[in-house]
Amino acid sequence: MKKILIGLILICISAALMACQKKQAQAPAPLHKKLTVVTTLFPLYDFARAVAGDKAEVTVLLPPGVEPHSFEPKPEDIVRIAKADLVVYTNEYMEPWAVKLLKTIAAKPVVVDSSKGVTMLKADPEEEAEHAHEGGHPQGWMDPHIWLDFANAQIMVQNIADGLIAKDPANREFYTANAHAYQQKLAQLDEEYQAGLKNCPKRVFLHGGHYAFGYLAKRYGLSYHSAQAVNPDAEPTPAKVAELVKEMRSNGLKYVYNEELLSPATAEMIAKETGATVLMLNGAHNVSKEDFDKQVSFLSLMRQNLVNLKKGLQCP
Amino acid sequence: MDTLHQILSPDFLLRNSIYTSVLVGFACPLVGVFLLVRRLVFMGVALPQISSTGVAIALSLPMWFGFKLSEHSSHSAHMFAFAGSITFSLAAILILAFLERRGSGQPEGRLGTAYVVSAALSILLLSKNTYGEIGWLDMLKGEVITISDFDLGLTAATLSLVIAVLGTFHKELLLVSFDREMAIILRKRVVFWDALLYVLIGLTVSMAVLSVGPLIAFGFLLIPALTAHLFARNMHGFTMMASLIGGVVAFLGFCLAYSFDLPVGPTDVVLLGGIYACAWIVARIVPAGGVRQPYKAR
Repeated sequence: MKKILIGLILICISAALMACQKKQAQAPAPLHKKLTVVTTLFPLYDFARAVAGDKAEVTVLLPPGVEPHSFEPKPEDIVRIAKADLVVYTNEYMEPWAVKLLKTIAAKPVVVDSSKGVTMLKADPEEEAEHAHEGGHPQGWMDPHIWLDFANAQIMVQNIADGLIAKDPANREFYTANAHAYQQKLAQLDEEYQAGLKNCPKRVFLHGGHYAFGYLAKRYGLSYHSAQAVNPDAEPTPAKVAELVKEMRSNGLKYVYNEELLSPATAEMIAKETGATVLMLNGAHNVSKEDFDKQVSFLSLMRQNLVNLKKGLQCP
Repeated sequence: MDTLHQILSPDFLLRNSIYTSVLVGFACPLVGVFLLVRRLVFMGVALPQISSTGVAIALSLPMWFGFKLSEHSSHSAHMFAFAGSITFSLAAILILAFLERRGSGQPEGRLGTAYVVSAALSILLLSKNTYGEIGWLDMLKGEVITISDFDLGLTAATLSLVIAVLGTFHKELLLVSFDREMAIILRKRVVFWDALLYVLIGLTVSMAVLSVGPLIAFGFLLIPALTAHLFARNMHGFTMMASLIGGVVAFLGFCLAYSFDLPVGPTDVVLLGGIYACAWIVARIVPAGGVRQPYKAR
């Protein structure tokens, strides 16, 4: 009996080992004529492919449809990162795992912290307002959603271009030209937002998701409240939801926003209570599988956001 | 007082949330007492997690069979999740109960394994779902704040059914739980009553998990029963006291969470824990003759 059991265990171990070998054998041999660039989030992916063009194969670690704040890389992801020529991450607050991991990888790809040069805001908006007049480097947890301020996005694009140039100096002019062209598009988008939102009678918008639009709100002089804190895993509290309903009523708001890839239940509840309508405000952390297959772009998502913001703020 | 007035007002914004919390608070201890009596406490740990895995499996079926489920907030998605939760819970509880009666080895080990494997399986299923995690995490961990009228109706109907059946057949269920040998001698259909009790437990746990999540479901299954156990003189008192503690704490916990801007579920569980700790101390201080006699069935 004991021998049979040992035999069975050995068979199971062998089968498992064979399965691993089979997966490795089936993986196609990568063609490394182009640079391989691994990005962590969708906006970085979109920026990187705009800048790199056909000189690099750009991929995104976060699978489409997955909520990014709780993402942890799997062993396969770590292998991809180790084999990449360039790795681009958002910042240490969005991907806390990235800083530690990238230090330990022996292969040492070129690493781009896309937030270099960006002035970050605090994750707690009340604390941010309280310390707004103070200078210097703010302490505490920061709001990681820097890409939603398009001036920051331009800095991120530049950082990506610098990383590509560091790895592939021969194509410096190509990357520089692409980065400049994309920065122009972002600047144009920024102007559209400035023009579109400056005369809106409502200056506050409410969001049933997590706190992601602080940068956008600050840039365009808007007030913004969300049901959840920066991390969407935090449960909305009853007091917060009641406060949002009160804000909706006191400001005469007819629209409440929900976000991509998270439950719209909170926004729908607020809408039902106040007779409002739910609109999408896309934080562009990630896109659904359908949108990814359709190759939606960061710019198109932001333009749709502008349409929905203008509707919600009752802009002329 | 203003907060209390607000909460008690019939048009209170989060009325569905508080109704559901209190319903779960009243109902879960009613089955929790049976888990305690049958010395199946660890099943109370494992079942909510197993139920949650049932939700994950149900939500994975569309991917496996090539069809798309409608948006998270739809009734069909919730019914699907409920069906998965209850199917998996019932299957698990019946298998575990069968092994408990017939199997050898350590039941705690089996339950511990069931718990940890279920938790891991939920994570694996989530990671491989191409439709992503839209709304799943809320369904897996419960959405007590955003309970819809439909969810409230479903919860109320299910738990009312459980309470009604428990009330109607409480003598039979108590007998097979307390004194199985006597039940066999009296030619009671022991297997049938056992199975019925497990179905009721499975229904309650499934509904509680979908409404308030596995953590709070487990808290309400066991802690009120443990608290009542310290003072109850008979089974009837034990059951009523446990249910009352659960319902009252659910309400108080909500009030506290609302007043101090805290999440509801963890507030409820910490409050339950605090009350249990205080009750334990009181039970040690009060003289044995008045309170600490073992409970007995009527």
